[in-house]
Amino acid sequence: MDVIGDMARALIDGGIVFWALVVLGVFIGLAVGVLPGLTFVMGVLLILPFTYSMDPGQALVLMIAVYVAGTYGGALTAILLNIPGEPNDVPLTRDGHLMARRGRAAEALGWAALAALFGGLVGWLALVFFSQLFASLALKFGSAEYFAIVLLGLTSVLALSSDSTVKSLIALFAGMLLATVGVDDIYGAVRYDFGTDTLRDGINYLAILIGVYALTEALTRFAERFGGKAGQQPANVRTTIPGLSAIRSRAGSFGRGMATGAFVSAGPGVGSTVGSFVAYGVEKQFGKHKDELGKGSPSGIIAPQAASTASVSGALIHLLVLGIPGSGASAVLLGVFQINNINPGPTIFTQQEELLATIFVGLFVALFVMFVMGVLAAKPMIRLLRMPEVYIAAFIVVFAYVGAFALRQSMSDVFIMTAFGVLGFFMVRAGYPLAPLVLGAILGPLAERYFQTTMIRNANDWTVFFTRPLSAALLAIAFVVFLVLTYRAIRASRVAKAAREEAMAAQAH
Amino acid sequence: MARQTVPGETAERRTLPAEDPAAQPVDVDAPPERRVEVHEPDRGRGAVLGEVIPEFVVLAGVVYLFFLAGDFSSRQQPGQLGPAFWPRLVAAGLAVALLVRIVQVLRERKQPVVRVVSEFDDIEDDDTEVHWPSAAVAMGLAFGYVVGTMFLGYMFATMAFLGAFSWAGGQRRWVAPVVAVAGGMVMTYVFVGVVYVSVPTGVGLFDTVTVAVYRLLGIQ
Repeated sequence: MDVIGDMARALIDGGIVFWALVVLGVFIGLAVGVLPGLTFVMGVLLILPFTYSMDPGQALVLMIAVYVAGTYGGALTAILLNIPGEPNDVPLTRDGHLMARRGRAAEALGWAALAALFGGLVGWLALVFFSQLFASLALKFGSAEYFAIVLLGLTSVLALSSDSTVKSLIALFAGMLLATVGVDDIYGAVRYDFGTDTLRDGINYLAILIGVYALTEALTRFAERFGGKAGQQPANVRTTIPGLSAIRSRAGSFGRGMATGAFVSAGPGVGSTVGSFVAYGVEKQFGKHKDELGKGSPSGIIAPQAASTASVSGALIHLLVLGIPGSGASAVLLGVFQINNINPGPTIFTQQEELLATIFVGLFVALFVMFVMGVLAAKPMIRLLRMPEVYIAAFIVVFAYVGAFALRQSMSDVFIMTAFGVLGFFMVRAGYPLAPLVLGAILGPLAERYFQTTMIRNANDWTVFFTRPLSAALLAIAFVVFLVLTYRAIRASRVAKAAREEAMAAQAH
Repeated sequence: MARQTVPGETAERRTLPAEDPAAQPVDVDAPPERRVEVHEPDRGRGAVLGEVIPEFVVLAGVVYLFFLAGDFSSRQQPGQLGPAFWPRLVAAGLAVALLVRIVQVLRERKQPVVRVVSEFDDIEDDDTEVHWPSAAVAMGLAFGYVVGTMFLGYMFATMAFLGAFSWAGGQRRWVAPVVAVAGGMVMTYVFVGVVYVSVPTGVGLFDTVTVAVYRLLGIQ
């Protein structure tokens, strides 16, 4: 594949429509980042119905533009109003807002914009130049290797969840069990349909995704009567790009953020939020300016923001090379592929070169448009917050309904989506995380398919997972992740036990 | 509030007044500089039951699904695992996890609840309380929208939903009904006319009027 040539051709062939979609997608991404109650996963989900009548390349360009801009848009409110617009903006909020309070808001916004651009570009380079290498390796993968990768993804979801491990496990298994409803891929058996056509058709993971991400949030915000943090709109919003010498002095923070984002998102099922937190942790441990973190340091903005945007490419690598979604947003992108009967995987690099080139150039252009719009349009973006939140929530529901309906032109999916929206509301109240539920529903069927295929091909010889070197290596990594989980749980349990004993002793006195 | 040091850790701890009875220890590896909060739990039977009843109900459902899987029939060859293997494996895993959770809750019901305080708690924590009547209204509107779509058609159901949701959400100004009507028509035009999603048109008079509006909007 002649990457540069194909990208240039895709850019020319795309014409004005291409540019319009990129600008629109970046605007939507920045807007969902800024608006409360909206995340970039929701942004990608809610525009899904608009993409059904589009060419797949156009649809993917639009959604990727939303995705990448969404990882940066929330930094605006985080810095200016101390309200992280997205979960991945939490680590940069303290340093960003402290800088703003000290009159350095423009500089803080500039650092965030630069970090998003550089992080995204490094991720883009990895996507364009390493994905083909990865794809040629993936051609050697059999079903055993794919099963091991999916298992690693499922384990990573648990290990990187900061919630109770047991609750995460329950949510994960619940998602996997829900995904078994319907006709099974391997044997053609109808499972758990209870005599209804609705369940015989299976539960589409996108309906679950829309329900728990979009509808749950709208219900939650309504139930909270749209209360919570409300920042005062700043009078003067502008962005100042730091100079070269300042950038050079923070080169380490950029490098650590980009590397962490790219490395962390190499794990399937791990998204930008985890990358952002891990990057902040790495910066705190190893950064040159680590003592400044939490006190208004640009490094506290640069590392997490660079990681967030870099992780978009990591998720895309997984999706394109293996057909396994690397994050919630890329799971929606997988839906676009499936709707257009395109199977992502290693062969896509030889069979869909034009589509790939369109994706690569779309991401590249979106990064620069995001940078420019983020710098120039910070003020109007913040003005969006003046919109009454109840209207935002109402339109989230409206978009969610059409999104679910349009999956299979069926009201059943709308009912399912609504049921999951309500379930998600109660799960959140009870402290159960939603991400494992969703990823279980997405990765569970893949795990079953690859597992069953391997067992059928190898006459039920389960040792094949360990005798094939690549599969064994991946399972070993999954085992290490499991050990980390176990260690963490035991350690937390010991800390908790000691704390309880102290508290009970203090009560006795 | 007593400040105490955990033996073997340099974590600072504070004993706080009784707060959230559902507070659970967080499985996070706590570096020494992190604080650990200790809460007195709600010792009432109701609180404990409230925590485990949902898990028991789900566990009962999972056990039922496990046994139901035995009825799956297929054209599997002898020696193959069959279509019931995976659902049973997952159901078993889920059942074990639920049992662990139930045991956790019952064992810890009389013990103080410990929570590791994250350095981002002041940013992430949202102390907004849920107003349960509002939650019930929101859910009722959500389901009502779905049911309404089947009878009123998408356009009228959307107008009704937008209006009811905004009104129930506190918007009492004249703008709200305008947004509802305009929003319903715009959404209909966009999804039906531009994106070609064949949303329901309703029954009877609603169907007739919806189709007439489609013609007015130039939707074929």
